[in-house]
Amino acid sequence: MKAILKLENIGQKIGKETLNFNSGVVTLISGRNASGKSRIIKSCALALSLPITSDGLLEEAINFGILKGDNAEYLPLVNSNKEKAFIELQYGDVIKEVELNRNGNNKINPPGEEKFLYSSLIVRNSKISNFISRGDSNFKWIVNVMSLAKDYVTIHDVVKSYLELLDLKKKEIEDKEKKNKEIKKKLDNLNNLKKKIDYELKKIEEEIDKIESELDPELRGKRSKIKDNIEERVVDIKEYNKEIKESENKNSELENKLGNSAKRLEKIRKKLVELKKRKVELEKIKKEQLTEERYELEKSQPKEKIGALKAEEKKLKEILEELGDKNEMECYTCHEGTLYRVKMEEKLKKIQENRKTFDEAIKKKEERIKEITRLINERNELSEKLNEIREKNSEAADLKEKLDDYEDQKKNNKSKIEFLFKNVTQDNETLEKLNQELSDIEKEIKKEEQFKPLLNKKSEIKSELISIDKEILNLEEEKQKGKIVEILEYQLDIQKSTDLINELEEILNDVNIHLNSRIQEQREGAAKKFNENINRLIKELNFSEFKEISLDLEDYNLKVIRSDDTMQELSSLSEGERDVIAALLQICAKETYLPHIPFLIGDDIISDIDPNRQKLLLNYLKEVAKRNEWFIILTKITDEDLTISEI
Amino acid sequence: MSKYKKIIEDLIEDIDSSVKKGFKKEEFIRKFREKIDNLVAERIS
Repeated sequence: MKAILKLENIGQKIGKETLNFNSGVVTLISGRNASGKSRIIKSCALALSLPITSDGLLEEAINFGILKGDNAEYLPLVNSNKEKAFIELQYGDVIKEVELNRNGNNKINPPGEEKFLYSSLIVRNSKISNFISRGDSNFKWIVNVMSLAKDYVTIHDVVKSYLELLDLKKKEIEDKEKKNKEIKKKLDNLNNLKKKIDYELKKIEEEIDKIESELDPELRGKRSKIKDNIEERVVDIKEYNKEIKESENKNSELENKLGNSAKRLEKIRKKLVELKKRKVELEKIKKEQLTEERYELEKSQPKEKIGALKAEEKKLKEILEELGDKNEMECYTCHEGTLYRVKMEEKLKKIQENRKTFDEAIKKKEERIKEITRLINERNELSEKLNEIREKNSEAADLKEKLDDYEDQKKNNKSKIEFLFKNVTQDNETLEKLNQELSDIEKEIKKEEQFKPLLNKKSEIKSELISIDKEILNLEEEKQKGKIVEILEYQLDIQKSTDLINELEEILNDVNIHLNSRIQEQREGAAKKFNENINRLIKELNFSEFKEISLDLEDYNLKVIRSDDTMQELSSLSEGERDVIAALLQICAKETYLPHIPFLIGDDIISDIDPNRQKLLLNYLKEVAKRNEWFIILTKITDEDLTISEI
Repeated sequence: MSKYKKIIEDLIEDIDSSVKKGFKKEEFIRKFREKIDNLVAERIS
């Protein structure tokens, strides 16, 4: 297989350039410093790995110089005199097109695989190299990134955040219940105090009555009637106020229910808008027409014509090979005619052009078939969406009915409260008049020196009772507020909130148990696969000084065991050994996790390895390249101009 | 598993399917939030 790398305005070079690589071999790009070696392999890496979304891999990309870091103004690969640069990498039937902008907004089509940076790029300051050189053996990150563990860990964090929120709500409920208990205690104390004061008031009134019994009977009779009237009014007012309070509480509950239902209805309406939009998009897809078009396209693939062209191309190539350096020869099939090189080459060129045209036409047809299939699959979604719309409409209708019912109830309550307030006002007015009458009569019959101290005491006690009543009212209001908790935008009473939190916690904890087991499974699976490959590699490359290099299946620490069975700390390895192990791990990561992308790129990895080991490594890479049909591209520093050769 | 077996199984199935299809964090969070919201709405209605 061939790979064609087309660059424009990359690195120091302005303008276009094209480079060709063959699969199945190791290509060496060698040259002095700043001769342009790294920009070639960086371009390949960029085309194969972008876009990058994981934090760890973003760092890797910035360190390698294919993405712009926060402190850099411009993208490093774009020529400093140009605003844009372009990369096109073609291999097999894959074409990767990249547009790079100096400010860092890149376009890539189709997207690459970000894991390429860990698994297929061997460089000195790669994450694997850095870990090994600083003696850090914790390689949990590699099994996370190279398996689905990373995704499960992200989901685990999302679920955990919900559990933390529920924990906070539990604490909030605990605090509210504590406060409610304190309020209840205060209310009990106040009510007891009120009872005592009422009793005191009663005693004083009895004393006043006793003194009055010796006074003018007619006036006493009149006053007694007025006092009875006053008491009746007071009782009525108390009853009305109680009823008003109950109705206000009911209204408060209804407000919460209205609020919750209105929020829910709003969410359903938003969802309906989305669903209806999607329905319209899907209805535009004409399924029958597309099915017919696809059928016609599939029928019309000119397989026989292509077969004939391929056969003729093969035949001409054989003839040209037979001709070798000669310009003509006798036809070896009929032994009569002459085969001329020029004519054969012309014919071959024409056939290749025809084939290219056919290939392009077939490619277009196949793309159209793929597109139609995608549209038909989407269209099949329509009945599902229609059902969803029906369900949501029904839910919305039910909610609307509930809302209307709550509104009616609220209205009725409001009317009742208004009516009761009217009665209270009237009774208060009557009460005022009666109190005035009573006061006038009492002025007539009372002798100040007998009554004044008692009346003063009575007035004091009544004031105290009023302030106690006020405090009780405030505490009752606070108690009412303390019964409501907000959970995920819904207002619920404490009991319902507690039940809901417990249910959600149980569900989410079970989900997290499952996630933990998936994470463990993925990590273990990735580590086992990796270990099998690394130890096979050690044997194939004849690293006899190491018995085993592997990831521990519990803590994913890298273990190095020498041939004498001693465990070796990474920090105590020689620099050469660390470089070799880093290169081995990277090759192993490639073979284990990303074998389907046929590129392995190494930037100056062989210079510092001893010659024997270098030879072994290069032989291994050649074998791997041949076996897997990979493009293995290495760079090497020399003191010559840039050259590209196959080794 | 608890008495909420069906709900848990549904959530787990959604998670596994989301990871297999090619996990997209923002989309997952949006759908998960919607699921939890529906669950809460059912419970309080």
